[in-house]
Amino acid sequence: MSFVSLAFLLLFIVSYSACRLCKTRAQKHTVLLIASFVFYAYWDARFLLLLVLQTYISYILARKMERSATKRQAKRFMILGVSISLAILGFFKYFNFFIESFAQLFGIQSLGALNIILPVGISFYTFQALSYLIDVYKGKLKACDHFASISLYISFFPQLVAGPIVRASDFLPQLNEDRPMTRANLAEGFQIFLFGLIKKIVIADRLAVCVDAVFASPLSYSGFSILLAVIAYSMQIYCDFSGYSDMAIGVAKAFGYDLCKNFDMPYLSKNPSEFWQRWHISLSTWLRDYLYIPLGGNRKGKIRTKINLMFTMLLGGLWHGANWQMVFWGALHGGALIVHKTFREQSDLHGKHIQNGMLKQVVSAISVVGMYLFTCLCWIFFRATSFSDAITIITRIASGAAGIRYHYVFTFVFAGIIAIASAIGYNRNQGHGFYPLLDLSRFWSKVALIFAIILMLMFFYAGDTAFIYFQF
Amino acid sequence: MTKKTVQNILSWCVALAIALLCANLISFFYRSGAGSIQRENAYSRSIRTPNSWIVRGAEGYGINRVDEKGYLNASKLRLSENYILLMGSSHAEGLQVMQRDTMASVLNRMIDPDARTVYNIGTAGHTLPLIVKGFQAAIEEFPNADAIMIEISRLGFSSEDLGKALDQSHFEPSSAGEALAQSLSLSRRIRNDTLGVLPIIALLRQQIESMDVSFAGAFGIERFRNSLKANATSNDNSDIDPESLPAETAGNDDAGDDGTDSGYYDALNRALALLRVAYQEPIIILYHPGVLTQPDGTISIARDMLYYDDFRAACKNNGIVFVDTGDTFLSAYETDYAIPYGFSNTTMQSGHLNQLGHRIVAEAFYKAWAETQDEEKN
Repeated sequence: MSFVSLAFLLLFIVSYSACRLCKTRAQKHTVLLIASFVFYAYWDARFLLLLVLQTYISYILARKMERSATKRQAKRFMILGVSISLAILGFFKYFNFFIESFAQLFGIQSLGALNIILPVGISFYTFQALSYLIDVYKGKLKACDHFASISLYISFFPQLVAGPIVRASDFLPQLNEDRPMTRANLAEGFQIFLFGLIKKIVIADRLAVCVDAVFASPLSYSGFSILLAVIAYSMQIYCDFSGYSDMAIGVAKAFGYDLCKNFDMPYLSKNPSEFWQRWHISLSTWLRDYLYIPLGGNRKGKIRTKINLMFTMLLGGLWHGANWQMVFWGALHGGALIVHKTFREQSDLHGKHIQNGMLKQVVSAISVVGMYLFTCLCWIFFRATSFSDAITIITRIASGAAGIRYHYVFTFVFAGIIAIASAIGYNRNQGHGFYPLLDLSRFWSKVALIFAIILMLMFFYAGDTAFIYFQF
Repeated sequence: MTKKTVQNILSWCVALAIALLCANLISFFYRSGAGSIQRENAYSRSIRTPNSWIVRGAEGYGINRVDEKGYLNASKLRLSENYILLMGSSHAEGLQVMQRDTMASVLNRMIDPDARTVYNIGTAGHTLPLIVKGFQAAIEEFPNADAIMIEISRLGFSSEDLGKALDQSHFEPSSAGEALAQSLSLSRRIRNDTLGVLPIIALLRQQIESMDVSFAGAFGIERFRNSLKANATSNDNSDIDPESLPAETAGNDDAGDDGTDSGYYDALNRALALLRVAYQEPIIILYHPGVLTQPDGTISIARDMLYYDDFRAACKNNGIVFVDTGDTFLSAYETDYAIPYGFSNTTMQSGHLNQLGHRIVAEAFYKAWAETQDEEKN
């Protein structure tokens, strides 16, 4: 079920009303769990079994881990749980990719591909299950006594299919507290949801019109038109994905729960390291805590640190999609992180830092622009339908190739809006994003809120509204 | 209910009213102008509200004037005694471009900048069968037309539709422009006036109607059924040895159904003959096929080849000039990568004719018309 559907509106109204009527925490959890299962099964009821199975395996193995007599035995259960989760993910998401890659590597004609439907959100809920198992193994978290609790943590419908990837240590404690469903929570959640909805159906979906057309036939369009389409894609993917996260955060807030921030004005990043602290924060911190640090992080020397960085980013790329373009996208970001780290090490080593305030600002501005352009370059590989298309796109932009002049109006309009919003965020919140929440006791706040809703209804795009990150 | 609650409700209502008014102001510049008035006994099934403005910004951007007859004609110049009647669909109507850029305006300027010689009665949704059906009514309403230009974007019509078009409408003066508008009931006029001053209503209605509120695909049941069906079909087919089938069914392309309507030519020929009998002056039918960008960066012209030769032959048979702008579209692309369809706020190549498309069509009409003039002189 998508947030942008009548079915979701009905589900929300029913589940919210039911939760308000609940007298105990357990009743509320039951309602939310049923709502989450309906939310997930709405897409395809068969895969609900998979979700329940994965949850059950995590539940059982975490309990066994906790009851293990020795650390070694607990480790075995942890490895078993992680392996089963990864095997399920691997089969549904990567089986065909590995088969095809194997065939290509050894020059075999075709090994045949299976007709596997990728269960929506599998990458997200697998990572949540993994974090639960690992945290219990490490003793950071107690294993859940009730299946309903762990099930609600993994299946909680606002974040189930496209994140944020919530940590068990952040969410499970909330289930053990009385989380009030106040009118203030509803008002705040609604505004955050609306903020995300506008990003999604007004900005991202509208930009998709241009992006889809140009990326489908890059040889037809002029270099400048393609450049504009790449910029449009950078805004589309940001508004699509961060819009979903905002909606998830808003819905959770209405039910009284807090989900972690997932985006923080990423295009204001000055370097790759900062970018990954601002883009898909829940994934980058997950990769840091459960992959990069266990690999050794920066504790095993400079070379090993860089290898760890690259490996983490390669897997991060592969997480996004089972193809070599995504791996290359990860490699580009990994490479950028390594270059940036090396640069930092050298400047620290030689004590060369810019002291002049004015010059520092100029360099910061140049860094922001440079980082944005690099991110756009990476997005080309992320979005292009093939490697050769990505190369064609870059070549045509660089050569200023002639072609159809398609200067999509909304690219300029939304670039302006995002630039202004970013400037406001930068100035008002020390370079960090914030939700423009209104105090609805004030008259003009009410006018502003209703005006925003009407504008959204006037200008939303009524075509395809699938979320980009559903495919991951 | 407490006083505070009442005050709160009131403040929300006032806020709603203010927000709606502000949004309504924006609607005037994005999508405004009253819709259509339905009618019978006339050329078209509907006209625009006479003497009004229409603004459309969702596809391209156009500000257009509706004249006293309910058609999009802007020129302040008096209509010439003898003029050319331009018929066609929404392309000819030209809501997506500014009025000065519509094919009618371009033609007017080309033929005589000091007179109004082309009268546009293009109507959204009017394909050839509807144009034929209203043809008699059109020449009754516009008896002084020196020539008729018909814009079409497709050639495939069912012989049934073409047959129905032979049943001609006749013009009733009460169905024309202002007379029709004045004959509307009070409630209808109030409704139209309200929509005129509150364009946001029509815009929101259009947006809400375009929302997908279906529950199709819920719980994957439909997908599951489809996959079962697909499996059953593939199993059934796999049981059959293609070699054992008779030639007609064993992948014999020649015997396949090509989708053509066997009565198409006859039906079309009868329809065009009717135009010829009803009107003896030059008739020019201009066909502007679609364009498709190809992955290799070229474009192809998407002509309706199933009907193309029959259509051309039927035109020739009835002394009607047939013009095809496909090659001009192709050369425009080859010289300057210019595309006649699409806009910078939608996509290129799809949708309505853009400014360039209108110009190309106007030039092609003009050229064909000039040739008919030369022929008449000779």
